[in-house]
Amino acid sequence: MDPASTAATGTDSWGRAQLSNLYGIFVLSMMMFDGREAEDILRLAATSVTSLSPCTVDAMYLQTAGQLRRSTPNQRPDAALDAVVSRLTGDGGRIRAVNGGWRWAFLLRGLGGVSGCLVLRADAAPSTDELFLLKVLGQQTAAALNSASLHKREREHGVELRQLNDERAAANAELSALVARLKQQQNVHEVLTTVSASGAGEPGIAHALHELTALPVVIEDQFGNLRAWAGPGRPEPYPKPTARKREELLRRATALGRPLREKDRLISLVKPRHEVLGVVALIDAKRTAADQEIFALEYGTTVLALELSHQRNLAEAELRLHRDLVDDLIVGTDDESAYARADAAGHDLRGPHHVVVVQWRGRRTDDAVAEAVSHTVAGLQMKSLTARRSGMVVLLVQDRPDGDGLHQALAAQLGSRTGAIGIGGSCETPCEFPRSYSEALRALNIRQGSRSPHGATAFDQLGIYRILDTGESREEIEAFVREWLGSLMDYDAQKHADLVRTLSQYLECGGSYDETAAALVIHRSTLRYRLGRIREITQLDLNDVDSRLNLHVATRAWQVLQGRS
Amino acid sequence: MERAAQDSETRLAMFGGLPLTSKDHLCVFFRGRAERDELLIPFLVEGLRARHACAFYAAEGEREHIPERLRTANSNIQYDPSLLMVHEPGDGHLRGGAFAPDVKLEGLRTWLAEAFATPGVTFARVIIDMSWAKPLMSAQLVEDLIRSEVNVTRWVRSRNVVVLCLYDLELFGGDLLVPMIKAHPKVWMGGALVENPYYIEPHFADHQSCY
Repeated sequence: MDPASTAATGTDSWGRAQLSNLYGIFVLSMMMFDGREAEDILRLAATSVTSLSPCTVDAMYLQTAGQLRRSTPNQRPDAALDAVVSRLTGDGGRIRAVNGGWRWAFLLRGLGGVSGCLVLRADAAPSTDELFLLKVLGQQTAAALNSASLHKREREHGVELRQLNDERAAANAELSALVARLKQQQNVHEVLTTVSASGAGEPGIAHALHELTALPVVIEDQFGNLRAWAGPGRPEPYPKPTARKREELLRRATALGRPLREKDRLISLVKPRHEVLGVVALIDAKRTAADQEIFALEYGTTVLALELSHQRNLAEAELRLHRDLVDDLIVGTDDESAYARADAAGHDLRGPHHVVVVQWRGRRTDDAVAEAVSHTVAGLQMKSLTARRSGMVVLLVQDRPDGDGLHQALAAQLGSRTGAIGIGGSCETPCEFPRSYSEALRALNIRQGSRSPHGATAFDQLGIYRILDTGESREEIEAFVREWLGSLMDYDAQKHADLVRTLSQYLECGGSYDETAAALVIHRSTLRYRLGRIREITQLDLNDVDSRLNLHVATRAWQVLQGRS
Repeated sequence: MERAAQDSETRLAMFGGLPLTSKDHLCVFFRGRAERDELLIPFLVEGLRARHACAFYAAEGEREHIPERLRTANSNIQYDPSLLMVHEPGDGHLRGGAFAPDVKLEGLRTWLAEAFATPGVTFARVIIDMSWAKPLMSAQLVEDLIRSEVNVTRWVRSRNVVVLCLYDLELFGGDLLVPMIKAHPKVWMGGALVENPYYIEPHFADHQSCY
């Protein structure tokens, strides 16, 4: 080959090699722009340095939070180099190499400013061509880093936008749900308020609640008595819980402070102040009641509480008026004034009246008993004036009341039989009420002191007890009882026998052996033995008319006295 | 018209949606094994259907799986098994753990001669997965690879064949990629086929260092 040809080939070879290198950088640049992360771009640039020049990479930096930071954590720390790099301006330049040789810092600067830095080292300075290639590599890297940064920002904006969209969608959904809920609640409010204002009372409220929830609704008073039912499935007869179970349920519901689920029921207490006035329940066997139904139940309970409170206030006002009037009537007042005041209270005092006193033992409050009495008297359609006095309820009832019926109805209402009713004698005029009241109290005392203290007793029915239970002649009666039954009482006390009761029953049964034995649940021969002992101890002939009368009176008096002790 | 007929005659293969012509020697950059298979398997299926002889220099342990992958990609594929040769590094070019470029080229020559002796087989496809080079990376290996690629370019020129060298961008850095770009006449990357007019010509390589 001639020299000219050789020279031409050499130039051609140089040009081709340089173009080939540039082509290599071009393809590298394509790779750098393929969406990879900044660290990858910088790593690709750094690993390419040795294929374009005799240099090696001393350090790599990436711009992070406004500062150039080393991109490879395992690089040897070099605070001096970091300081030099942080002070670089322009495109960088040659920097001092500690162990001699050549060292250059390429600041990777693009449209967005400095994005990184490559620090290269070589034993000797690279050629102009190699330096040119490295600068091109640096420029492409800077552009790719800038692009990656924009991409990253765009992605972040995209993510932010998506988040905002998601949040907005969630807020919209929440708002829509809230609006729907408010609409439903407004509907509940309107329906129940309308019902309340219409005076439809408890049945109307129960019906409205049933319409709103599509569930059967029951309203009960505090004792568990049915007040209203709306919807299908009403049990017949309506079951009533025992007083103990009822109290336990109310206690749990009060403690919970929100509707209580009890078997197939969702229960809400009507409790405007401290006292439970009643219970509203949704019959929800399939447990479908959700927030909306619970809201309706609670709002319905509130409306019912207002309704019942109003009723209660009216009743209390009426009761106060009645109490004043009844108090005056049973203490004694002139007839004219009594008629006028009773007329004003809506009660006609004319015609025969009886004073009735009611006393219930147990854990019932006076208010609860008074309310039950009012409710029961109304249910039995008894015309009366009712007043609450300390520990009892006093009624002035037109016509003779059915004591047993009243007691049964009250026991059912209160869920307990532990009460007594005393009924005074008939009064034709108001001035007779003090007497009738006194008689009612005596009848009540006798009933409570008797062997069956729960029930009703009318003074008219007391018979001999009316004479015996005078109070003032107690000592005489006790002496009389002692005189006729003392020996038997002593015998019973010493021997734990039952001769006085046996004698009493024998006399009550008119001397019939069979009836007496059956009443005492003893054998006829036992009765005969006991009567023999009674004759021996008393030394009395039970067939003698006088002895028999005195013994009969004495045993009845003994019963009264025994009841009192 | 004549030019168009000539083009369709020479465009014998499609790779990644782009046409290849006979005597092409491509450097293909991909990311990860999944992307490689998305390019490779359709290329092999197309070749076997066209009765092209196909040689795949696979990564270690892949040989057994290639027929299954072909069937997964196309359940109806029917091909002459003698047209598909799957090599693993231990079979030749990495014999004894060191790169043996001459062995590889000699193996290719022999295989191609046998393939073209088969009636109806006039075209061949050669695909080489270069992942085996990662653990052996050194300046000397880069030099050897350049020389090998230059020789492949020379070999391809006189034969009815395309050769694809596959480089995984997740494995290799610029120290290998830049020399390989320089050593190949064409580069395929991200769906683009880029011609490299300034690749290292064999006659230049014969006279001086390529690197």
